[in-house]
Amino acid sequence: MLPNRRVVVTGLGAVTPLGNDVDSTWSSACAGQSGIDSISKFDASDYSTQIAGEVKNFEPKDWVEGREARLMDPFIPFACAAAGMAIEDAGLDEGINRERIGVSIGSSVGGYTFLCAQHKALLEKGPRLTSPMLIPYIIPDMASGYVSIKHRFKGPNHCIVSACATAASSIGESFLSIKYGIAEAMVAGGTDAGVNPLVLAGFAAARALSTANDEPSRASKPFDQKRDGFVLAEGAAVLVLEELEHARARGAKIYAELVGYGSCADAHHITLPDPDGSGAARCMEMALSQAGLAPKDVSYINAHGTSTPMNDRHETAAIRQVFGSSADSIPVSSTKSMTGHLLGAAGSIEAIFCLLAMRDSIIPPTINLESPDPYCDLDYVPNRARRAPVDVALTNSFGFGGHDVSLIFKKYAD
Amino acid sequence: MNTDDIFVRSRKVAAEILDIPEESISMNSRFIDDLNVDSLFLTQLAVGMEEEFKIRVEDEDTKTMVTFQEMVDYIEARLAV
Repeated sequence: MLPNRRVVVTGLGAVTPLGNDVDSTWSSACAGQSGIDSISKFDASDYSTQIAGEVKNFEPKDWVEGREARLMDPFIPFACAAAGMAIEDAGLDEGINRERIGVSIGSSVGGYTFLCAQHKALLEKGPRLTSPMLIPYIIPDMASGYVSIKHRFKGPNHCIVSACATAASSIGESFLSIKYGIAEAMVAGGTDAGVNPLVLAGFAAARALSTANDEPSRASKPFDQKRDGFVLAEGAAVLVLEELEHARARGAKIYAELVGYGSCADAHHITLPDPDGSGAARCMEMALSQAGLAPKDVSYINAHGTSTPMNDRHETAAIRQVFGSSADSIPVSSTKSMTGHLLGAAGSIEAIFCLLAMRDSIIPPTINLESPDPYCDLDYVPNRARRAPVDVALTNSFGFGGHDVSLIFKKYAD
Repeated sequence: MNTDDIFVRSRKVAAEILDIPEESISMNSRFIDDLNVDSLFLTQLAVGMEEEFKIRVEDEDTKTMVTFQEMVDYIEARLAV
């Protein structure tokens, strides 16, 4: 049994292919817009996949010092931006004990852009001209480190890596840190700047990516019969999680309560999900059990829904396994149809979508769903957002390595 | 190359690395107090100077540099070798 301390969400921040803040990202998602386009950051003409969800018009200098912005891998400024917005939204600045506030912003790949530039320099110019910033600006934990330095948060500080479940793991473990009294508040989420030649080449080589280069905005089509892989994307999303009484004492605005965290492993294959979906199912069951909720209590599921042939089918099977007869009446959407796959930030942007769905009673759609896979037979909220009350929302995240994470948010009530 | 030439070229490199206007760097500028340069950025400056002037800048030597003038003098001495 976990301790009784309750954990609520008091701040949100995001930088995504749909917008450089939470409001613009959310309004684009509700409008069913795609953030996917042809890659502009480098010449991708030799790649089988030439599309991605890029963050646009982002100015790193708005969030980190200029000299650092010039060198630093973008995954760190993305995190600083999302964290900065979340902290401001939560009003978590004055009158707080900074030793009791931690940061856990994960990154699944870390700083590949700066790493590749420095590797090129090493080969061309030799080791003496390697930047002393190489290591600090590429290690995945620097997002958490830098945010703590910037905001002087001296509580627990780490970077949890579980591939595409990274941000969900960060939120889940932060939830436990607060539950067990290790921190009063945690700045938690994920960041990744994976739209990079090497990362693109790697995922393309693993045949994980969509090659629908002629129709970028229609490339990510979770649960559709014609889906052919995920679409690489970048960005960051961060939540402020806070112990309920700490939040109430500050008079903080409360988005919702985090009531369930499931975490387990498929123990099956390095990239493929367990075919019977048992890991995913067990994970959702763990989260429900911890929350003390029955399957019928869930009013919305934000699916991992990557748009790969395997994931969507097995996630559907897992949802059916857990939710039984309730599965047909629960709306399930994949917002990756619009954002693309933010890798280490996917779990946190999707948590934010759950929280805003709850706040606004709007369920964001799964776009590009025209001819559903017969094995994907749930209500995926196709193509248009839907007005519906959301009291309990569950979000799934799964990652290479067989990581399964589910989070459950519930409308806050005394 | 005379001292002025070295100053102009090294200042351009430093301004780019530090992301500050060239005019904000003078011979008298102090790395820590005026330019807010920590040990990592001082090493980054040394790497920049090695590349620009095709010289070798020793770690022990950068540790004692306080002003920009000292870096310019060091480069001049190295180029003379």
